[in-house]
Amino acid sequence: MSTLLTTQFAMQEAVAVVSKTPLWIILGYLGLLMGLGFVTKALFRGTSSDYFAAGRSIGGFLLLMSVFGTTMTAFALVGSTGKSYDLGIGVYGLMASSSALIHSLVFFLIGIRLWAIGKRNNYVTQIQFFRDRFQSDFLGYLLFPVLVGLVIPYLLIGLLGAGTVMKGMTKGMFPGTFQPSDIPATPIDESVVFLGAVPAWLTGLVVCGVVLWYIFFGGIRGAAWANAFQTIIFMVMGVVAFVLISDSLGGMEAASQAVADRNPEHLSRTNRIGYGQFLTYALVPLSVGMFPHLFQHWLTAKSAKTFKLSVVCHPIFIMIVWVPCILIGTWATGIADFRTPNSNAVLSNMVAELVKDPVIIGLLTAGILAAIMSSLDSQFVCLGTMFTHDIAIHIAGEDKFTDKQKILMGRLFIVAIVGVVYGLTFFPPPHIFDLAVWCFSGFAALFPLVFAAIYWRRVTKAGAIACVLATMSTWGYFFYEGLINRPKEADGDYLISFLMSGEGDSLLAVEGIMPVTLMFIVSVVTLVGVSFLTKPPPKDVVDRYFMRPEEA
Amino acid sequence: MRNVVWFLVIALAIVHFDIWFWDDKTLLFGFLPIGLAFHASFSMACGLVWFLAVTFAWPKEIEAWADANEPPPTPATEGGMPLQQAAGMATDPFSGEEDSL
Repeated sequence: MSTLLTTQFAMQEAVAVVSKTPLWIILGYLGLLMGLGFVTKALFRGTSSDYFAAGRSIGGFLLLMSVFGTTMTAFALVGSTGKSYDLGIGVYGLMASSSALIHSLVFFLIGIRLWAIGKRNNYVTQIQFFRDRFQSDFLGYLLFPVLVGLVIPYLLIGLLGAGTVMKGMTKGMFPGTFQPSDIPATPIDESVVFLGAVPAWLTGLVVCGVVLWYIFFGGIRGAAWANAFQTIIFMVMGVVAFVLISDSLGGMEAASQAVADRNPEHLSRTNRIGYGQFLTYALVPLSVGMFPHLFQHWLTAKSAKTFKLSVVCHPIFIMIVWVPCILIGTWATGIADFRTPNSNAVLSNMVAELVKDPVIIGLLTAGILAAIMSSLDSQFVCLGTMFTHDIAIHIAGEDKFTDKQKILMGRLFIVAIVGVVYGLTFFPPPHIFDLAVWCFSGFAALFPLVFAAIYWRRVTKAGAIACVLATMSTWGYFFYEGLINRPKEADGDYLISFLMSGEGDSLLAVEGIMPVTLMFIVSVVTLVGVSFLTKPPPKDVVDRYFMRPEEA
Repeated sequence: MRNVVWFLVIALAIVHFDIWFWDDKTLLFGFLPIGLAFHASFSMACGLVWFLAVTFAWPKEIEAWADANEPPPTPATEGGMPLQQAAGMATDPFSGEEDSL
């Protein structure tokens, strides 16, 4: 079998004109999404409230699909496959199973309570909540750039993933059209020229255009409907890809056995993932508590009961999506002569080379793009909502703008952000998974702020402001050291090592911990310390956010 | 039952750190690495525990609390903050004797 696989992957080096059927299927899918924009336009009531909050009508099924679809971006499909190609099966425990527990925990403890607070106070955005909770305009203006700045890498992950996947899938389709000079030479693909492939800049342009189209028509309802549709597509196509790839590899047993023969260390975590790294990775999923788009979904959900489906099904959905991706990435290490320009291209290369039917290839690629676009749409709408509500309306006043002007402002801000993100795609980092973890780490480090805001009466405005400043300073330092200033040849996660006991497998032999740990500690210490050093907030303000008024 | 649910959540958090399968390369059913099988099962267990949570530990009082009051007066902003107050903050973010730095 390995001889067969060797031949298959040796052949991919020879670029030839290949069938364009997958591309037509992908274009058909994008057309379908644009058609969905017309459907949601019919449901759109034309008001800014409906555009930004869907009239608080998002029910349980849409909430589940929208929240799950938004959370599972290129990070989950493209990134996880690439990361398991690098590190093996331990990647599932690093992010997926910890998310299964922690995401639902956050939905349960934070989301439901935020829904109630949002309903009682008519909030739409995260910043409205924090600004009112801490009676601080300054905190709102401080959080706006922080949150937008942290969302930008999240959006970037999506566009980079889409570009990489399309390059891998369309390699050889347009040998006379897209010459190597048309394809920006980037660190991500410098070792391989995707001759005749649709370049990443074009994919990014088309993906942004389609997403902007359907959210401009339908607002957050359009995003939620598109999310539901696309989440179903990428979950189904993910399972299909898994079955077809395993068949092509001679079955699941043969594929895993090949890994056992060639790269057995990928079947465990030995020498791949450290205890400290694994333990502290569990802080990263706390990021869902501060994602602006999830916050907005929670604040504007139809009822508390709509959360039940998300709380229960989210862990199962994670398993359905992640287990096949982890296995595909691990199986790639068992294939002789499997070469990939970078780990981001593992999934697209596996599909393109092992699934021979062009129709299926097209559908699978559409599924991957569905996962990516289902993350972009909610975040685009959320950013527009934040700018309109938290900056424009808040400064000028509610009555200064008509509904049409509010929607227009939101759309213009979205276009501006998309322009920035699109520009950044020309300077990509080497690993999608790692960029995502940096983005999530920033949000996770701010989690103590939201937790304290709804569970701790004593937290003060000064504590909240100090927490945001200290956390972001810490994040900025580690982001610079761990991603920007890090040597290109450095391999694996950027870890902080401060304890080397040299006791072999002892639990104390911490080889390094995730930077999010220190960010989180700084966040908690600053929040609690400064709050205790400043005067408690007014009781009448705090009582608005707690079910039981504080006893005198 | 509510306490049992929270006990199970804590138990899951502890067993997530599965050092016992760390170095084990066994393939279950001939294809599934045991470390991955454990964590996939862990995800299923999470779904089950969260089903118990929404069934037996659902915070019904929050729904009643959310429905108890109409949103407070919002004369000038959508966020519930009076315009006068918002305007004051715009000029002096740290205004307010009760909670100043």
